[in-house]
Amino acid sequence: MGIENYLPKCMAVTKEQTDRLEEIRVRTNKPVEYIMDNGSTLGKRLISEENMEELLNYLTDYSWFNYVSQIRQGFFTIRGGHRVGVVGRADLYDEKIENINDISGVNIRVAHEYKNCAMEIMPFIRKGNDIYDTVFVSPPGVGKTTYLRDAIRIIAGGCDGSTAMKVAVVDERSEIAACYRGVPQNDLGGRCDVLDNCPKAKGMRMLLRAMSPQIIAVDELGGVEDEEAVELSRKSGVRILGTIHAKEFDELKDKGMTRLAERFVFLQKGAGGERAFRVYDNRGNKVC
Amino acid sequence: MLKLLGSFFIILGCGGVAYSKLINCKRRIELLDSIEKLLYKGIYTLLGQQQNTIVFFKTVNCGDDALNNELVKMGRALEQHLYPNGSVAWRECTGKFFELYGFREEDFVTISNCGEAFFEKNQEEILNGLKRNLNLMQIIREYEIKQQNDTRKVWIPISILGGIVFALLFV
Repeated sequence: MGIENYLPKCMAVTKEQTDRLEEIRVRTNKPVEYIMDNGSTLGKRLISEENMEELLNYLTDYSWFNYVSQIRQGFFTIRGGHRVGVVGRADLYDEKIENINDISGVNIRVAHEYKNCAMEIMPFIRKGNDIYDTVFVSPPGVGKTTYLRDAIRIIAGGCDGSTAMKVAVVDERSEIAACYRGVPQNDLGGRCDVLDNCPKAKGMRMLLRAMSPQIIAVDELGGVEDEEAVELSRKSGVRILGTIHAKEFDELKDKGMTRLAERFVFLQKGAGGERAFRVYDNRGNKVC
Repeated sequence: MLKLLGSFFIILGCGGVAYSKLINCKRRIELLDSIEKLLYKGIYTLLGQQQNTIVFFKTVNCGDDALNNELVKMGRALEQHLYPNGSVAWRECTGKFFELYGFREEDFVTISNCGEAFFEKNQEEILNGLKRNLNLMQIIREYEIKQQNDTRKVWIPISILGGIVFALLFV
């Protein structure tokens, strides 16, 4: 479902604009900010509290109470896979966030699927009908998750002519599959299972036991627990597909993360928004 | 013979007036029962099953076909984002419907506001709102039942006696 269907009249965008939208930032008493792939623009009128309430009603299907468990984390995912971050007044109980009320700011990250964007990377991460343990590496906003999602789709769907593999995804922040009420909104291929909204390390252990995957895919590896879970998965013969925040191979080396995978795909964003990639093995040798 | 027939029709007509008053009362009580059922189902479905509000209104069966139709219409309107918030949708969609049945003004306001509880921001507020409205509906229902009994006790004898008096006058 396109994001244009969720916006009140005062924030409306056309279908053409939607294709270029990356984020919509709405703040009370400020104009809407539309962040496109080639820059940002501001709306003409100020957003009132009523406009904000109307937007939230549309985003939550008039069922805010259904999203409270997600809103405690500061965001929720809507049909179509769009992620909505919210700020306002946090209601605390026993030092934990119970709910966020009086919402004053909303950031809608518009979900786009760029199918086949990872196709040209596949030859470098394929090992016959199997794959290398692979991690996509880049700074935030370059498209790690997009490439990871497409790689999952290709591998779990056998889209590159190889046999489709069983892929299990731990989607801690609903960014990969964009599940809405448990159902993936993004196409992840026919042989993909998604564990949504679960901490990565716990989820990886659960999937190992429960789903007998050939590959486990996770976004944003980084914690010690994540590394342990990756090690465990690899020892169990399960391949890893993941992402890490970093710029260069040396940075990964310094963090001691080069042992997590066999292939590191570094992504870069050009001035015109085009993406380039470099692939390294775990010793730092450039594969392509 | 003609006089007898005329008298019979006059008495029947007066009885009919009393009957229609009774039917209206009965219909109001039936509607209140349906609203109570809707509120109970709201507690069960929205809070127990974590159902989406739009899906709830589109699928709920509150035991009254006419009210069900109004709720489905409202669910569809919400789905198309025709109303800025749920309270406005409830008031506009069901308010006109309840208005047809001749509730007292204060009861009408209570009934046309009772659906706002479905659109509260968290489960606790929804539960409290629905419970509060259930109590209010029961109070209104008791009043309507009293009204129905009064109608039965007063209007039926009055209309029949009135009919007889009219008949005698004309005969």
